[in-house]
Amino acid sequence: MATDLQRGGAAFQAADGTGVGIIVRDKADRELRTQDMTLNVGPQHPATHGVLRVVVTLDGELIEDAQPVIGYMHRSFEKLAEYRDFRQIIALVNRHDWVSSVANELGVALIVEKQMDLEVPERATWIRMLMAEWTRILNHLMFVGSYPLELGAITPMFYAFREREEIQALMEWITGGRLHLTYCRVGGLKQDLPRGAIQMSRDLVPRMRERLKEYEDLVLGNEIFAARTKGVGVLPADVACSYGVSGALLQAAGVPEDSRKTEPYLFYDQVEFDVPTGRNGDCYDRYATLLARIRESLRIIEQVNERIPPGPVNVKLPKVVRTPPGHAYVRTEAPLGQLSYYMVSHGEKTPWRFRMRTPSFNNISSLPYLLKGTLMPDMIAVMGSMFFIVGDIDR
Amino acid sequence: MGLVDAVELPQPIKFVFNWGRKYSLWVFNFGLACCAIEFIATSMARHDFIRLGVIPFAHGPRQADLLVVSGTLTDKMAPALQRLYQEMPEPKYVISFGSCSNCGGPYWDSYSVTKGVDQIIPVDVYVPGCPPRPEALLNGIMKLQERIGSESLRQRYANGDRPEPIVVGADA
Amino acid sequence: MDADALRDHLVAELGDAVDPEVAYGLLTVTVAPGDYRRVAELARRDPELACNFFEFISGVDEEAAGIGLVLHVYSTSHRHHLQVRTVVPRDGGHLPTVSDLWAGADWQEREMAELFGVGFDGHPNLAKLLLPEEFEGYPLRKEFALLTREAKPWPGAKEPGE
Repeated sequence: MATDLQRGGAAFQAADGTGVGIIVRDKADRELRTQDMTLNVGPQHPATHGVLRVVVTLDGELIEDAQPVIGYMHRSFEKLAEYRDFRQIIALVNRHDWVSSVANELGVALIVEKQMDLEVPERATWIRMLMAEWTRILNHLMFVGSYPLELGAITPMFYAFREREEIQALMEWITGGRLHLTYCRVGGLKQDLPRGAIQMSRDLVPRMRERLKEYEDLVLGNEIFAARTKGVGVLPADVACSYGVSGALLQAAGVPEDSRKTEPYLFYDQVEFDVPTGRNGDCYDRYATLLARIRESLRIIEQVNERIPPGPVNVKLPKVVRTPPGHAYVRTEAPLGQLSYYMVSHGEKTPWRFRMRTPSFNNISSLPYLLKGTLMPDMIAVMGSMFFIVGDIDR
Repeated sequence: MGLVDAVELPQPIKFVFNWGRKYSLWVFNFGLACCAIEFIATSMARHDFIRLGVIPFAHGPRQADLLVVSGTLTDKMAPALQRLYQEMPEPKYVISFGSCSNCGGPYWDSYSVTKGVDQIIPVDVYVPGCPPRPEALLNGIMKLQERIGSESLRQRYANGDRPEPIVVGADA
Repeated sequence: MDADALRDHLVAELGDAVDPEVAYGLLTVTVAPGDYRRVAELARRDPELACNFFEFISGVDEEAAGIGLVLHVYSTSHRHHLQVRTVVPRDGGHLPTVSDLWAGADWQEREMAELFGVGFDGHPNLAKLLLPEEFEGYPLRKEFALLTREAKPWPGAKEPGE
């Protein structure tokens, strides 16, 4: 075992060029040569979410080096955005963080409205907040279910999807779509809320709350879960900021950075909610932060349900929507982290350059730091706790 | 190969054989993108497809009967799909779930997307939608099962020609 | 600090090496490629700026002027954003890397190198990130045409109501 041997012996290069290893001496002072093994995890793997490939170099069970290979879902959104007008961009952009569509669309609508200096009706802004928060819960529930699945607990997945189906029923009632809603438009929303939508939303909140308590008791209180995730994959706050890690991962590291609080957009400064932070920045804290974020989102939804004023939900747009020349930047708190858009416009109906800074890209770029020195069985625990969506990484 | 593909089975035995095959399809989840979420939702408690006989999830391509490609296939991923398809043993069926895997979908003009998995592997059922509803996948599975029920394995192996693929919703 | 105070601080520190512009509440300083590294280091190390959070690096095709590169950083303690913009020539343009200042720049610079064809001196590993190995060309440059669009125009209606 590694602890019995003297680690950090002299390095050697295998004569046939098959790899590197170290020379160690065991307790009886015999010389042993180990050789690192390169293992390929993915791109098709039951435990990685989607097509992420990680090439790990192993010394026994210890990971010496882990290099994620991404790009298997690169669908060239930024190039396609230069050929599409803003309605089409909204329809395309919600396919990146594919479990939370409104979060992606919101930034696009906000950046175009910022550049055109459009005044969005109040009702539309409140409803956007409502949809954004329900979408946040939808996204978090996906990971609440799939993270224990990777660690071996199969049941939370079914419970989480039961919750997701109920929220998706609400989404379907309001917008007609289950997954890709295309609900936001430049200047407001596609259509008004149908009859009974607010009441459905009101009824759903207490049901979600009591089920959230189930997760906290069953999963967070589970000894095996705690043993596998406490102290594993610690990401310190300064390293996280340097990588640009954001969202639940950064909050679990102790930094209360949330765009809804630091640079409020929509009407987030008019509702009360807290930003949960963790202490250690390990996998357990990240999962606990996720559950706490769902709880805060339910608080926001409760308040928004009572505050939606009557009125129009969109403004009259010109036949062809053109943004004035210039560049703008908008930052939103997507469920996965900080999602920002940077748009350069030359005054046409399609943008000149549309840069989408996605949270998962920066989150996953910290994987080499996190995985170095961990054991192979912890790799899945760490990777699952990064809460990423591959479409968000590769765009 | 074996008896089944050298001899045309008489109808009662063929019925039982095909009945066993169509109601025990182990599905290999090749979930790539958003459609994978709807595919997983179809396997969950509300729109369960295990009650139709499709068993989630085969542990590897070598133990799978059915490949469901859901999501956008990029040129970088295409060799992996080809390899995994070839690792599946016959008789194998492919469902292309979602418009990205049918024809490239909303990314039809991208420089890095393969416009349809049928450029790489043969497809038996196309389920259109972006993403298709879980009920559409259940419909596609049922249509595939009807086809398997009346399939003749001897003809499948001997001639090598495949019947026309099913398009869900085309006869609506 | 808000954008105007930030601009004044930077002009005080760097003089006319920076060309500041405040648009929609965001400060963008345009610098020459030679000063890019100096401004990035100032943003990272100056306690008044303290930009510790890495947002993104983006390329922008500026046509005849070259390839523009925008570095966007944020400070979690002071809560301000800063964008540093520079323009490099289209052929053989290169910039010093900032991946030793912010670890997140590592992947973003790789992405910009493969999509725009800009070099980054001192970067540990400029291999392709998103594109397959055999890919030729720099896709996000304007002269890279989408072949499917050229070969086959969009068959349906182009505007609603057509």
